[in-house]
Amino acid sequence: MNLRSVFCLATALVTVAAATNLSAQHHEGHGEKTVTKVEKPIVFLDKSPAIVKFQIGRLSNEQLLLVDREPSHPKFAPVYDAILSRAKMPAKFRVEAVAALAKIRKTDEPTEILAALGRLDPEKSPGVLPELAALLVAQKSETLKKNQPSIESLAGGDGPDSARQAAFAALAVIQPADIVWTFAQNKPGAVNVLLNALPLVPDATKRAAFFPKITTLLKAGTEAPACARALASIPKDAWPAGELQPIADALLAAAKKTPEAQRTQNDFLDLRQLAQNLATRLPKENGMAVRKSFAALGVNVLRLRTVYEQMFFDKTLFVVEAGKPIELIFENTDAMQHNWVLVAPDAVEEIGAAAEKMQPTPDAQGRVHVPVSPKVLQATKMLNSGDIVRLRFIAPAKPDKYPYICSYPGHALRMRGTLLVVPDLEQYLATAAPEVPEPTITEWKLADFAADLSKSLSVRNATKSKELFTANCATCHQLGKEGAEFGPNLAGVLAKYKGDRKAVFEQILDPSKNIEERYRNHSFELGDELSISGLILLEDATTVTVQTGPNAVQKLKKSEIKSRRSSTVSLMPAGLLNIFSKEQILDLLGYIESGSSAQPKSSKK
Amino acid sequence: MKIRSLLVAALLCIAAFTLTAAPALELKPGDHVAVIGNALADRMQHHGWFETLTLAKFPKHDLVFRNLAASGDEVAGFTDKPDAKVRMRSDNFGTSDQWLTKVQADVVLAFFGFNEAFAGDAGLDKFKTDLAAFIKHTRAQNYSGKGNPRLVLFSPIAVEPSNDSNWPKAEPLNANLQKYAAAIAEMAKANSVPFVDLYYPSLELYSQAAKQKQVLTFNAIHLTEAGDKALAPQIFRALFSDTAPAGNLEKLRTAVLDKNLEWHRRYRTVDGYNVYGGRSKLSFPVSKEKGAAKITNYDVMQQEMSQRDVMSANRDKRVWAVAKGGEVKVDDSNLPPVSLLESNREVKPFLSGEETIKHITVPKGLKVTLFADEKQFPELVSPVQMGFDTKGRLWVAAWPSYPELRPTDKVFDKLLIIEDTNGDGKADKCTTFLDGLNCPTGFQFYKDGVIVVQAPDVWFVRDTDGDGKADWKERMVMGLDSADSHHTANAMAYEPGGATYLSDGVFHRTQIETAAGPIRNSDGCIYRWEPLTSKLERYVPYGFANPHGKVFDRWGNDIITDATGNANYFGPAFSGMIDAPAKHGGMKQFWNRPSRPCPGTAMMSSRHFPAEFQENFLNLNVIGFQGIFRVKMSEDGAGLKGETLEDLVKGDNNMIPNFRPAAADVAPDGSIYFLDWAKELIGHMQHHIRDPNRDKQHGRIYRITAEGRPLLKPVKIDGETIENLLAALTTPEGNVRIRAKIELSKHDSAKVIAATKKWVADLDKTDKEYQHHLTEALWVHQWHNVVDEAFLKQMLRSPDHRARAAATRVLCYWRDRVKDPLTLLSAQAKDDHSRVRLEAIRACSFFRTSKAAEVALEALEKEPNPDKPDYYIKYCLDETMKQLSRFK
Repeated sequence: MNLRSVFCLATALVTVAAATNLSAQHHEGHGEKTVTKVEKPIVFLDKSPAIVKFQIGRLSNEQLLLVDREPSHPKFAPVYDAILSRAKMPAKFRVEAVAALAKIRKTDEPTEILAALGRLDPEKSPGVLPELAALLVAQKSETLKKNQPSIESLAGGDGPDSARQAAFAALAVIQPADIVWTFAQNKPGAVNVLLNALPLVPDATKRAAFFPKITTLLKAGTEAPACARALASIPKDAWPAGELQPIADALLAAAKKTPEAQRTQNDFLDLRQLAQNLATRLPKENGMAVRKSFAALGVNVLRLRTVYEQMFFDKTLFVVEAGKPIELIFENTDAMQHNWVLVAPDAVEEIGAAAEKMQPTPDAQGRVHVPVSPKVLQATKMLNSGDIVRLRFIAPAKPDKYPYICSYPGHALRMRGTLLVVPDLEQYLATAAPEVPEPTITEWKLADFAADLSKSLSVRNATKSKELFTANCATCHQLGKEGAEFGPNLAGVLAKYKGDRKAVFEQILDPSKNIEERYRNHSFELGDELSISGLILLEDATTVTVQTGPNAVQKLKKSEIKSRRSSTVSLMPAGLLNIFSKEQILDLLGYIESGSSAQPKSSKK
Repeated sequence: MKIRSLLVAALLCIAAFTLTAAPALELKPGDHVAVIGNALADRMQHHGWFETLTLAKFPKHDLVFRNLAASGDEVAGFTDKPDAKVRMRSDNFGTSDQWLTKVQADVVLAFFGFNEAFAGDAGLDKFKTDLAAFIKHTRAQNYSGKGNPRLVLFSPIAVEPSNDSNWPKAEPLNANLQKYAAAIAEMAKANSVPFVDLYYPSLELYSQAAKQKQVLTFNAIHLTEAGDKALAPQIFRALFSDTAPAGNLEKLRTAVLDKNLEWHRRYRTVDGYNVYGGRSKLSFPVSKEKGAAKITNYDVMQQEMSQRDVMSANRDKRVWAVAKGGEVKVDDSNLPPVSLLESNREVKPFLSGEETIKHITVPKGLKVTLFADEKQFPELVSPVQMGFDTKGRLWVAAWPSYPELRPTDKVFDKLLIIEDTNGDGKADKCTTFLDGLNCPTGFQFYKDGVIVVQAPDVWFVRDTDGDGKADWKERMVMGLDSADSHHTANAMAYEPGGATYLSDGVFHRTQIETAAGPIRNSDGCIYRWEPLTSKLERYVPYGFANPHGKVFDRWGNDIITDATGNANYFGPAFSGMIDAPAKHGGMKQFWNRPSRPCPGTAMMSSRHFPAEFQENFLNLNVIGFQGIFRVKMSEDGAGLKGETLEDLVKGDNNMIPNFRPAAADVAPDGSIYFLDWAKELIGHMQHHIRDPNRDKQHGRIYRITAEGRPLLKPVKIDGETIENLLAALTTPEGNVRIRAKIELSKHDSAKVIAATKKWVADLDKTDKEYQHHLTEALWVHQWHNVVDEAFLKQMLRSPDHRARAAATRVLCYWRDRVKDPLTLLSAQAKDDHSRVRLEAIRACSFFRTSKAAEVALEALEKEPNPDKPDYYIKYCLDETMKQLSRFK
């Protein structure tokens, strides 16, 4: 959890990068990322380093692990180097690689980990650094101490922050807090790195030792987001009660200073998450005040895409609250160019026609086909295939129906939607929701529910909750007597996650986070056009039985399968909750929880 | 040989013996005969001999023939669990059972086994299983409502043996075909289905024809009309145990072909994605009134299809009358109505061609004049493709029917020759070379005729009597899809070595039969086709929306343009081999284009224009910016990069919204001609297919000259000697060199190659273009399919890296005919220049051994920074490894 928030900025970067690659993926006709191809690849290890590196570089993790490797010969070092530094590599292989490299190069394990940390480009290998950091701090403290000079030089150097964090975490393991803090203060920018490194330190008491230093810094108003992340990693019982309110105040002060444009970013969200945590432990009135203050600062995020070769937006209605900040994330997943232009009510024809007459000469903001008119309220640039753009603006103050179009010549005839501006979103969703074909999309995050999830969930409206479950979950999941057997049975789901409600909720938000092997999606290419994907029910020497949907099972002959891949992406779509309000989601969770105390009847063969 | 012909004779005796037995097929009055299967059957509808003989034999039966065959079809696509991969059709085309039901088939004639045979021995068992499943399934159906259909199985014909080095070797292919023919015989016997062997009879016919120094196919695998005529009586005899009717049947055959043409336009309608597929569901208001009802493309286009059904039936009636010795006129007064709708868009009235020029801007010193327009030549409507022939005349494909022909249209698409006979810069003569076309999306000159795209086929047409009109036709390629009519093969550029290029856009499902097996592709792809050898393969299988432009620079580097997004790519890097169904991954564009979409491209190669215009890439654009972009090309590591220069042509879209520059080319006098498609409504999706404001009356051709600079003296090409044509290859203008090579292809290859060797020996070695001239000589060899290994080796080590790269490309296509090609490629992979290394990596992808992977990887050694290789080197190596990592 804490680890995640430290590195979620890096993850966010990856998401964007992946999105810009989408057109290429689309072209190849593979919507999802698939990794496994079980054939052993042919790799020439006796070639020059450049050739070896190139060959290894293009292998998937699964292919890489099939390449011959032995800790006895230096020619295998590049294979181990790759295993050590690959994203999503199971930890046991990293451990093996570190040991092998130490043997091949006659060094010790920390040396090899530090070398890998120094080598890695965090932008290219996101998610690896925290794993290497975890590997580093897990080393015996004697061997770490032996490497103290190189750890200090990495921590105090000018390498990537994430590598320095790992080094600081290692220092915190082998040195007292005071000494580490002083060391950091003497190196430019290092305090921030140390703060972000704290969640990596395995021993909670070692982390807690930094509490006074951090709170002093936070109250002074510096490094607030990093302080928030560090504090969040310190066990709550180590916090003096009298510090709670001052910390909450400091967090709110920092949040208010965050420019509106940055309030969808991790720094802000981390401040909010910690404050909401604190709020539960403050007196009720004070806690409410903190929560309300943060809610008032938030930004509504709208996601919009284009439909490939259909000349449509994927959503034709957004509902937002008047005068509230909005962030539009618009992604062009079509082959043609498109933009997004918000126009005054009833001005579609006029703006569409004016845009058509224009030459594609960029205006002052670099946009094309955007008429100069007071009736154009907002507009993005013209997006090429695969482009993604973020547009932040304040929703119109006057409630009304505001049309949006693509103003590329001719497109406005088809590409239209409506931004419905209402005075009170909560109220609107409560009353008008059934008439809305596509309600507001909120990219819910775990942090949005942190406070709610630590409270007990009660089902406010049993009938409505059941309806929600039936319409949205029961098509694939069973609970009690209801629902299809496709995804995991939800009876006993809470017990499965050891009563950790957040973990259950996080799994719903991000279904690919943990995939039980039984529910892993496999895809089978059967030829030119035909491929099917689903869960493997049964496999023997000649056939594979695949469940492709709640009520669809296909038996494939192995001789007909051209290739097969297992996916790291769950069959359950992400973002299923995004169309619901917070209240609806809590109802749904309550319903699942109340029904999940029962154990599953019988699992399938 | 002798033994075999004895065997054949013996088999024919057996066939003759069975004549006394009951006929294999008994036809009843009113029977509907459906023909299914591969290109052998597909071609029968266009030649019509078997159908004509049958109708002549049974004149009172009033038989209805409906041909449902398609190039590439295999029997596995026709079982109870049809395999859509071997009966590829675009979205929602309909199953075989649906079509057989629609034509109410009483009799099913099935022609399979040719495409299947490429699976060899390993595929025989599956083939037999599929056949059994097909037989069982078909005989259990009731398509006609009158009972189970009567089924007849036919074997494939043999490959025609020939000593022509441009033809494939027959023996290895026939070894397989013989086994597959036997397999059909076996399954037919086991299931008591009538079977007609065509394998041995075709071999016998080939041998008889060879004695007359004739051939019955044009590519060893597909029958010509003469071949169809020779085979038809064999089929007839086998089916009906009787000799075929003799006498003059041309009148009946003409009536049959007229009916078959109408049915073909219905069954294989172009633009299928908009007629029955995904986009047919788009709906548009029938009028401008608020709340007006909506009508889909499907609604209207299916009404048109119903008209074609009735028109086919009307032509059956004439066929029956002629078969009985009588005559009736075809009467189409009984067609069902088609819904009308209003436009969803007001259009601006056209300015005249002359007035339009006032709203066109060109760079200072250049001048635009009107060459021709619809006022002068009413047949000049919606011109989309152009080219100058060896006589220097401008040819234009006119597409008034866009998006496609209506059943009731009286004006068809055309191939026009528009000439300026008095040299005043204005057209004064227009000849319709070929009429009756539907969507002529591409054409190219070939030998003494023209290749024209007429989806699903590609025709080679010639004027054999010199009256200026086409009178001879052969279908050289079959099975190109046209699910979206403007995604159909277009921009048929020649590479300097003589291959030309076809293409498909998204939604398409193409199946082309070749002597190396069926080529199948879904969605976007460019194909490389050698008309001389009939070799055809996927060239760039890529996620194109609609690859609408192919041009080659002076050194044979191609720039490929995807029209929809106007994405322009450096071709050599992504044209390596990748086995179907895989496609190449996303590649960067070579130029940051300012606008889209692009209907055509050209290279500005003309000394009539100032130096800064030389070898510019021209990119035409029709929405937003309505004009021609001009792009400076320069080397960029292993590739090329483009840089936008001042626009060559820019129309004012407010004043001339219907100005749509669609194609451009350099004329023999060095001026530039471009076509104005001339219509305001152009999109497929934005308006109904039958929106009445889609213009069908305008078309313009403009000409750009540089004021104060002399025009070039056209190089004489038509009728010139081989020596003069070789001399023309030193001309800087690309269009002259290509037209000279087209003219050379009319000459005997042996003489051309002998003269080329002499020309090479006589070249001035101090000429600074010496290496380019040598490269042209190599390309002449390639064009004539004559391998000269020593000369190739010389060019592989040319002092000019561009020549070495071009030679490496030639080596790729000669790899099966030179010694140790991988050793030669290994040297190219270690070349000092990355352009050459790129071509070597690309060529390696065509081999099927891990040794080729090792050779390709060697190219990395030469990278200045192996950790950050050249973009195109890395891309191409990645794609090559993707292909090769499967081979031992």
